[in-house]
Amino acid sequence: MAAKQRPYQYYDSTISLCSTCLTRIDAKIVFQDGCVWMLKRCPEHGPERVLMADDIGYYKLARETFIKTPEQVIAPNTAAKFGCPYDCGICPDHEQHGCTLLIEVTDNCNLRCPTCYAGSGPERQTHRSLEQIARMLDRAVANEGEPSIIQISGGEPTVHPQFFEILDLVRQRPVRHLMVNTNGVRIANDGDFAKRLADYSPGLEIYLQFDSFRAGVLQALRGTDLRNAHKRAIGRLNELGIHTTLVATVRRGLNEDELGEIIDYGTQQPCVRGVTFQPVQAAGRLEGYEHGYDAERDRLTLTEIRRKILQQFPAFAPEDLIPVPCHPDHLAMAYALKLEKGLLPLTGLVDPEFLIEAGRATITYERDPAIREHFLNLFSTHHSISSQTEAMTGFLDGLGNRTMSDLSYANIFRVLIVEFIDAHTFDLRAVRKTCVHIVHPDGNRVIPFDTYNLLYRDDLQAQVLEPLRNRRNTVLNGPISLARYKTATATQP
Amino acid sequence: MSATVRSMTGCCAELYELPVVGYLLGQSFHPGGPKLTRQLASASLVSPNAEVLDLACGNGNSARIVAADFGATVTGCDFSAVNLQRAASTSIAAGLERQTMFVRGSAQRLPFDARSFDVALCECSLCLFEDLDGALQEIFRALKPGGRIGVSDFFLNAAVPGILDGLLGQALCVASARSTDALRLAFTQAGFEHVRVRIVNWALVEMISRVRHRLDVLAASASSPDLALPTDWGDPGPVLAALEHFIDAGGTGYLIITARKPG
Repeated sequence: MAAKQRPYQYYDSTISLCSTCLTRIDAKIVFQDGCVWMLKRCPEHGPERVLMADDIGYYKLARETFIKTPEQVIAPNTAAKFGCPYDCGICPDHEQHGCTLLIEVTDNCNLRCPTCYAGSGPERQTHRSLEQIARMLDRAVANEGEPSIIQISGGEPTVHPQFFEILDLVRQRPVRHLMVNTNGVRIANDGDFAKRLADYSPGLEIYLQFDSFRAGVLQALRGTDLRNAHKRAIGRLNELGIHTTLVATVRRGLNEDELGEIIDYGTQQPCVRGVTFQPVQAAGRLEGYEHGYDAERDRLTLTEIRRKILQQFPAFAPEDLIPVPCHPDHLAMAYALKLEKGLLPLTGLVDPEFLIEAGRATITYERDPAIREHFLNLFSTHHSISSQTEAMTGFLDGLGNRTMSDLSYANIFRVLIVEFIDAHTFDLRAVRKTCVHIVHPDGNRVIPFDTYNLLYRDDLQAQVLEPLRNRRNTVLNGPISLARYKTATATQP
Repeated sequence: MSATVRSMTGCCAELYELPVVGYLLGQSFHPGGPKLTRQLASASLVSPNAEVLDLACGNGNSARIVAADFGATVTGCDFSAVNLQRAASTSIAAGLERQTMFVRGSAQRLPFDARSFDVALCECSLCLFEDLDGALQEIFRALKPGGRIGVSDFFLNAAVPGILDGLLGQALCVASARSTDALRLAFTQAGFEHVRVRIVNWALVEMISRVRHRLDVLAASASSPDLALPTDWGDPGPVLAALEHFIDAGGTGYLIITARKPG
């Protein structure tokens, strides 16, 4: 008799968290019905099955092809003691430095969004002092040397009474790019503020919350109809020429059908250089869900968002929207040239090997001279690359009257999907590769965005993390490191 | 339908019944095998629970791959009752009977309502359709608005050298293939947008190398009479070499075309 078969294909085992108590538990990764699932079981809270991706081919591409050698922080901040994710961070077992470091300068916000990973709002009044912010920035510099991107965040950073002094603190340090994460309300309402902001260009990028064109959706996600605020803010940013990325939080059933429209809108705004889509992370404040947030019903995966972009914005083909090698499971990226005729996708023209090898690991390729060179080189060598001729012909047609030398960063447009890991999707292998980090207000630690919102933000450390640490019955004596292995071998007789 | 059937059997369908051809080409008669099937399905945005049409599905191999690996529901359509029977029974054995179904029909008049499918796939068969425009119009009709078509096939951008015009040339469908420009135009004229051509000659290179290896094994072993090459084939070695040369020169090759029905 034939042996009984599993109804799935077994792919991997990993360590995850129970989504109820956040205890480390064993998990399996399996393929079934065209989807990637995580199966896990908490001794106390029972079994869970989590949808990780609904595209097996893409998932494997991210895990097996788009990988690169990890780059490290200058020095870790904490010891490996309780095991991931209880040692953040950055602990010596993390496998990627920070591409983007967030400095949260206030808990206060001029909105009270039903969805907010930080749980910010008007009722929270704490602004961090300049002295504390300086300490946090110094930590970022100590960890990264020259941080690629410092993102001033919150709360709503523009309500901080010393907002511009904070930007000056950043400018006094070796930070390559300054980003401000904002809902745009202050920019929309305060022309003088916007003008003063423009003084920090170039080298300043506004990371602008922009979720929807529909009043009902904005009401559900943000608690208010922001359409007019969007219009005024974008108008000012266009006028002042401040580089802007539109950032859409994507929630299933609300705005997942607007992705193509948001990209299209972005391509028509001179200030907009890209669009970032972030599915809701199950963390912080999650209000407005019928009978509460239900992971099985409400979670949206990166691969679903990717396919919706491809369906709603058909100028992109699947090979144009690819994993980002520094954190391939959870970041996907497409590059295109903004032309009068529309967007011309570029990513699909670049050899994947090149993307994996080129430059420093950073999710901001367009700022990497080597990548830019490569794109520009393509334009002159296209005759020898037969498979690219077709797209290049379209590209050259699209240029119209422009000459080659007019091509510049100004025409490059980026679409990014950022899927933050939560307790449901927690895969220890992947979380070690996270590269968007938050500098802890204590100025001593830098913690992955993903784990910060689960275990380290505000009271979570005392109320959730510490009991978990106390229950760990193994204490690690150090990291899983090659250096340690060598030392151990050397000391043997 | 009868005219279509005759033209098909005149080409390669009959040939595929020869045991030696099965031996030489392996499980998947089309170049690229399951790997290219997956690439085609990915490029056409096949997703879990999508309704997929596999036109000229043959023995249903690709339909099963798309059902099992992508979680899609696949309707295979073919004109050969023998193929369909085989496809259905293999799917039952594989436990995929709920995700696959097989329907007899002609590309000139698909037995499906308008706007039935999210994705239509057609592997290595377009060059067999006498009325390409009619077939594309039928696929267009059967697709939902915003639906995708994904096709893999030979292209032919130069006159076929005499040596390839023989039986083996026909078996690989090279002789009746169309040019990349003609294919692109046909898709556009059928109403499709975002027509994208990807050259996948690796599928042919791999296939030729496999056939050559199997011919060597055949020549070296005391093979059964079943696996004897038909006497009118002559020596396949120079034919394969000529085909490789013709591919290198850009005369022929293998491609994937994807496109979208507006909506």
